[in-house]
Amino acid sequence: MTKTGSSPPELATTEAEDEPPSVSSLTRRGYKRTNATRRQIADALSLGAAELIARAQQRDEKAPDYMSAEALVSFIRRADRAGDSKTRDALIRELVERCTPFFRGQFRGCNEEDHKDLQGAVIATLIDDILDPGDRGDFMQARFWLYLKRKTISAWNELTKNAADTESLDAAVSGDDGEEGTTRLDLQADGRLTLEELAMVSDGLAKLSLHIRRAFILRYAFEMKIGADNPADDPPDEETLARHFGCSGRTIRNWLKEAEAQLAGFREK
Amino acid sequence: MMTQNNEPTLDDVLNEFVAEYEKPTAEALESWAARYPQFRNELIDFAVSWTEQLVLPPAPELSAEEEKLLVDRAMSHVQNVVYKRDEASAAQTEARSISSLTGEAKRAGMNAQEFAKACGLDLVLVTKLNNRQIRPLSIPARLVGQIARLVGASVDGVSAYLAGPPQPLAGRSFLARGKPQSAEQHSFADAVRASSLSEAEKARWLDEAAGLDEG
Repeated sequence: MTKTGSSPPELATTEAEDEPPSVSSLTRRGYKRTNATRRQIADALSLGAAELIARAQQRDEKAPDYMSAEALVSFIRRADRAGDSKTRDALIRELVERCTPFFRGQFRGCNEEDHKDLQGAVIATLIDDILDPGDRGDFMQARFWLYLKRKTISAWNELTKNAADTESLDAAVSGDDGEEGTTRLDLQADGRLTLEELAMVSDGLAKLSLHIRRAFILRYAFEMKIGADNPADDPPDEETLARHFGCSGRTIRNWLKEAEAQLAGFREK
Repeated sequence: MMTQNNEPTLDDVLNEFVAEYEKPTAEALESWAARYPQFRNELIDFAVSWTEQLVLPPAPELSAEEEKLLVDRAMSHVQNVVYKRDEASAAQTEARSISSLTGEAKRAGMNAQEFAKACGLDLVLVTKLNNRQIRPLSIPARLVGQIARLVGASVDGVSAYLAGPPQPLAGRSFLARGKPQSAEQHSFADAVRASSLSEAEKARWLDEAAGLDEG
């Protein structure tokens, strides 16, 4: 992986229209609500609190008065700004309940306790972002479910980071320090493992030490180079596994051998 | 198309990374690490975590009770966030208690007429609020919140001002022989009925004020 100059993102939020005057615009990084969300907001602007809450509880996406999660966030923020805590809390409850089905099937690799902790942490972050007086929550008003997916991955990332801090990188790994052999897993022609192939050894991956699993994924799914035995010998603009993990290329090779040995066993099963 | 007003935060970059790609790939990671070299390590870690979230074994499912408990905890978190925010806001505004609503509006860059319009009221209503001639319990919470937002004060600060004693009427009071009398207080609904607002505007406010202290 090499560094080059940065350029502006070209990610579009699928919308080109301006916000109608009755709907306050998002201010962060040019994010825009979808046309459907804008319509839903404009249609509900004049509703009284009770009608708004009743409409928010319509969960049938095909119903003409359906209100998306993005529109809900907009009305939660409006109620919060107006000091209308009853409406704000009713809408937040509705939004959080809508998130519950999304969380089923997330937090892979977690035990039950971690699953609960992470789900609670993601919801807390969601609430913090919604109630932030600035524009931190603008992305979720443009793409709510992507926002939630991203926060879910980040919550897992934090958990693994904390676990990695307590896991010694010098954990004994058997094997010699010879050259990296070819993996005993079936590789594609370009030598890269696909997500589907990784999923086939899912249980094996879960049993690997954290740093070994992550090194394995970076090597075989992202083709990151192993690096020199002394990471300082690697070109400064090249990210290598040795540099990323702060150890020698020899250690990385041993990790990979260990991973391959364990995963080959799972594959054979 | 995204515009770039400021330097993106890591949060922005990760949000847009997930929005741009359906799944993590070597090409996606290389492209984004090159675009945002300042977040290269974070992007690498995130891409691995994303991969893990696609290939690791599913987590045990939570029971309906556990899911409900998490929703309830979320609502407690809302109250905590709001409480902390209000406390911080109260501490900020404690130093300057509100001496007049129109004065605060002026400080926020609005004359009385503009302030009235932003509140959805007429000038007479704003004057009555300013002179505390409206019984505080009859004022809709949304209006109090709106005023607080407009003048950059806390809801509690505005409520405290509105709950103060009515102010003596200005004007020709200097001709009065006796001691100044406090102005009489009316309900918000009565003041709305007597206002110059349109019938639709009156109906909206009366709807919001319904059930509040009518006197």
